[in-house]
Amino acid sequence: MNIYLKELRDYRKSLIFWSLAIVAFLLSAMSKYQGYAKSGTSINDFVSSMPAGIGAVLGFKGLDLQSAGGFFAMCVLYLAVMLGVHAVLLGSGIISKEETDKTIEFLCTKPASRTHILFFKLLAALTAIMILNLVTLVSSIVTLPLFSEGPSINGDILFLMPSVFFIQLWFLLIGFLFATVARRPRWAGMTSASVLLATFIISAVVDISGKVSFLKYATPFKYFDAKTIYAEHAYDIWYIVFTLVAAAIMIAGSRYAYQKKDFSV
Amino acid sequence: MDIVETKNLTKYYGSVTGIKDLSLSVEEGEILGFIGPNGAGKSTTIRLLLSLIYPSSGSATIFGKDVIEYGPEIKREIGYMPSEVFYYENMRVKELLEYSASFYHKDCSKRIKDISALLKLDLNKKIDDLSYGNKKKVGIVQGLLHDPRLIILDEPTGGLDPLMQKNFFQLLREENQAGKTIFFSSHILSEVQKICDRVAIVKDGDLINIESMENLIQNNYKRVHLVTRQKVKHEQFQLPGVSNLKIENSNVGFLYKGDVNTISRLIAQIDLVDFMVEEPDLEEIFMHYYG
Repeated sequence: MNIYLKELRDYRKSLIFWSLAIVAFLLSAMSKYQGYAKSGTSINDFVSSMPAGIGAVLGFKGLDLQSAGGFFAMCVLYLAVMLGVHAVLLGSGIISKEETDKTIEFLCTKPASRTHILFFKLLAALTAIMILNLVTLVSSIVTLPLFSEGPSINGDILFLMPSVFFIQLWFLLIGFLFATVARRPRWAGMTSASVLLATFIISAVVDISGKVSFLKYATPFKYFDAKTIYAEHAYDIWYIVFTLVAAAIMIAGSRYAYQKKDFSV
Repeated sequence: MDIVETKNLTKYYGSVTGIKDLSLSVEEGEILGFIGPNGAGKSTTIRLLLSLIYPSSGSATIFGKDVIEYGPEIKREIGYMPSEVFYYENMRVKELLEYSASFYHKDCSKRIKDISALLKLDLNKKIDDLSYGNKKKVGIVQGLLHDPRLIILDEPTGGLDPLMQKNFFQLLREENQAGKTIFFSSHILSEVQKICDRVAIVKDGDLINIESMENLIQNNYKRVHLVTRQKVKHEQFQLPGVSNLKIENSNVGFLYKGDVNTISRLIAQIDLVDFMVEEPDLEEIFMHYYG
């Protein structure tokens, strides 16, 4: 428990920073929405004049951006990327910092097993991504009515935020796994962040081109695609099951790798 | 009972040998010096004992329990002080020591206070702002605050000024008198001589010798330098125990092992400008004593 509390204390500042970034993003995004809505220009006309590829990369392909709900669903993609970046850096950093700062020698000579250390670090990281998810949820609920005069979309917000959590979970555990496996600790952060970028690009490619739809199985951004979830008002249960199974495998893999690791400071 | 016992402990880093076939035991209540030049495998041995790394072959036990299988359990009774101290830099000394204590589930506040006072360590400073010597003191307190049965020290005196070293050695003697076993790794022969009961010597990953301090001192080499008024001849120094003799004009240098009276009588016969007898460094001992 002492490890859990210490980690949360260590990440307090970073969490505040990320929360502020998210609030700033929401404010700027929704003020743009308000601008469009007030001027009477149809965003849908505007975006439909753009090439389809751009719409796919920017995340609004097939969404009704005129409605606050549709606009928010587009924002969720950006939120998912931001929170995904946070999660992947947190997951890799919470493990690898002990090796880069050489404090692992301190930690591992205490009467705590490596599994114990991993468990409480994972618990702290999960707490942190949940806090950030809740901050996003609450600030969305608070922010949106300031810019939109239409009916409340709190229901949509509540329905969409779990998709962001699953994406956070994926990238947290990818970072975690890479950091436990990595021989050189600095490698983990870079590589797992590259995985995030690659899976994001894959999901955009799937949207642009109809021919490579099989690639949607290769990216968590497609398992929990906000615009699809918004349009169909449903999650694909199999992706949730797959995510949970993959999470269990990644945790077991991390534990195995960490147990085997030599710490030569 | 042997507090520490290693059996054919071997560690390779890829193709590089860390230590090979190291079999060694530390008896309860003794202070065992573990000496060797840098890169001899001292830290590798300690990291294996603390299961920071895993052996390529062989095994080790502490308190009769396997160090890997019972790692967390035996670490409750081990105090470890690393050679290079790395701590969470954003923490204050007090916070770090309390964090350290929180792993042991017992009240360590009195020992933190007492040992810090003895070493004159300021508990309110940030770790980041501490000098090398002061970080070392944090390492000492951190290693001793839970009153461990076995104290493992990896080159503990670097960065400590002579007065602090004295206090630290005094502290170690008190711990030892209270029944604690101490495993003291160092590359400085003289500090090992000051405090240890037995000495284990490692070189290139091999345990070369393990013997009592008494024997080691008796067998110890002295490095002798003479500046003579007249030219001397090689033959004058043909004495058992003299080796590595070098004569350049009026400068004479050699290593001597044996009864000091014999050599002092010899030197007394020579008309000297200056003379010096010093302890050879470890490298020289390894080269001449251990071949």
